[in-house]
Amino acid sequence: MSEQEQTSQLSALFDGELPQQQAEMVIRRAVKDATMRERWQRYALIGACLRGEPLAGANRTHGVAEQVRTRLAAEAEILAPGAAAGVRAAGGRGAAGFFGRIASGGAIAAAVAVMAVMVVRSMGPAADNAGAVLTAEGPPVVVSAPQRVAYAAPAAAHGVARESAPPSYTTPGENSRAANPLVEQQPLAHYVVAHSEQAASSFGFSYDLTQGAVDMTADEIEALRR
Amino acid sequence: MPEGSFSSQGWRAGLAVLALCTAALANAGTDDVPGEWITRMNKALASRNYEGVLIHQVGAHRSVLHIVHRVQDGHMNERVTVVSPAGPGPGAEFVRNGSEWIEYNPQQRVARVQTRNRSYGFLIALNGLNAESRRYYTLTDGGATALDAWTARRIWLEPRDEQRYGYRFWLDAKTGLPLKTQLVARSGEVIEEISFLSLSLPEKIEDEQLKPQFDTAAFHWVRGDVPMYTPGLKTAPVPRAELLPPGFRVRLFTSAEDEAKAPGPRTRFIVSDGIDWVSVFVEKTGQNRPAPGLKGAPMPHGKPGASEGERPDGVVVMGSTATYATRLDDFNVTVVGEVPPQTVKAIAEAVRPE
Repeated sequence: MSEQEQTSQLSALFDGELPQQQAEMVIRRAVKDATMRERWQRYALIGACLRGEPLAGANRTHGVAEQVRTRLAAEAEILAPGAAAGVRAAGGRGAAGFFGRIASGGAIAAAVAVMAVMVVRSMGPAADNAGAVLTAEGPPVVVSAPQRVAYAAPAAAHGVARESAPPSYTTPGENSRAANPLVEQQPLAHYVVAHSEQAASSFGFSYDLTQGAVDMTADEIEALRR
Repeated sequence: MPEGSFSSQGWRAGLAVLALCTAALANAGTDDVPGEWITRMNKALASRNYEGVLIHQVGAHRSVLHIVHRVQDGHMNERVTVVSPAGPGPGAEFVRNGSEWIEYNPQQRVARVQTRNRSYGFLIALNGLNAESRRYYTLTDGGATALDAWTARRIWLEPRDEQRYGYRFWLDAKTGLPLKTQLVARSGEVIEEISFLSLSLPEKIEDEQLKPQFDTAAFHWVRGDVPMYTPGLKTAPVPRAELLPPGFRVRLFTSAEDEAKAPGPRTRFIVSDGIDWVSVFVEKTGQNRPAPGLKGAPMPHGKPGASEGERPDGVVVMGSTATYATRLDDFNVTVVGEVPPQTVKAIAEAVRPE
């Protein structure tokens, strides 16, 4: 598979546009392929830039993020007149659109963005003086079984036992989960969110965040935003 | 035989016994290798800074998350961003500051604030693992293994019955941080998996990295806590210890004095076996929210099997969380937890008038 095809698939995955089976394949490949994983990491960083998230070395990234947005806005005018405003609005959708554009092949600004972010990354404290950086490398073996992906130990580590194909990722079974039940289960969502340490939306559920909640006063909000 | 000789032999025998005892004690210290790894993991999660990209998989749903976790002077801050997939998820952020937790949803332009009582963040720690809880789980050391380029220690805490879920951890050999965590049923079914695609351990994390990306001035801010007590009620149903599934009991984190000063009966309970945690919400019918369901009826509305998340027994399964609601006299009882469906139902049915 060419690099461009790989990029397209990865981009589609980030945009949530890849069918389940293909998504599975891309993730398997990313786990195996250090280059692809690096690209993935870069996309995450680019997304962070586009959304205005501070990165490691945050004081140095602001200009780059602006630069990326500007270039993307310019690119959007060329590729899809009228879409630039959406890109300028930034936010998560801007990031999604960005990845979508990589997939569509108009990647001039994207390439600039990737390089810019890489530079920032290498300049930032994360690279300068961070503690140990752990990055997964090595070729895990994919065991092909329906709906199962298993890691096997790569040869990277010495003196350790090889993994004998433990199950990885979730497996369908008696307790298989609903695709998106909370949309219909609003009264329950309130309790699930109250209970859980994780947000329901991290499971892919959508629910009305105001449900079962009370408005906060201006003072309370200000105290939290400080 | 000279007395001295006998004495000498006795000493030798005594020393041999002492040596055996010492060896036995030393072995006893190392026998609990998996327990020591869990302790190490708990400490790492409570003390380390880390940043990374996570893959979170529940059933068919997979999301990519970016996590920044800081512990500074014993205070925990954490920011989790949903990177993928598209839809309501991307851009959503969960920001934790001590016990304060805020979910920012840019699509809804809502910030929901809640109190989080557990000491750990997005990645689970097993602070409740002790001799009592271990009666219901088998803790094993799977030894060192390679996980991508990491060297990991495989520690499995598997449930001994169908009433609870267990965990499988792949812990970083150097730091003890969980590189991969699976929530598993007794059958071996993997309910949920969280694994790092990349992980770094920054010495310092700036405040800026822990702030939401949005301008939240125009957001609708709400607080979503469910109170522990309900003023105005004389009594409310309680989970009865003798009816709870084996190993589960009500855990109170307030003193008896505070309980006595409470403005009303307790209407929110935490039921746990030390590893799995379940919330029980008791609410007077007709108050605040619509009744979630009727006893014996499918939950919360619709027919059995009307949605994929709803089982014929009335339990609704959402992600790794099972929920069951029932009505007891004038009260709605709702039980939520990362436990098998039959367990939330059993706990709901253990709630009886005080």
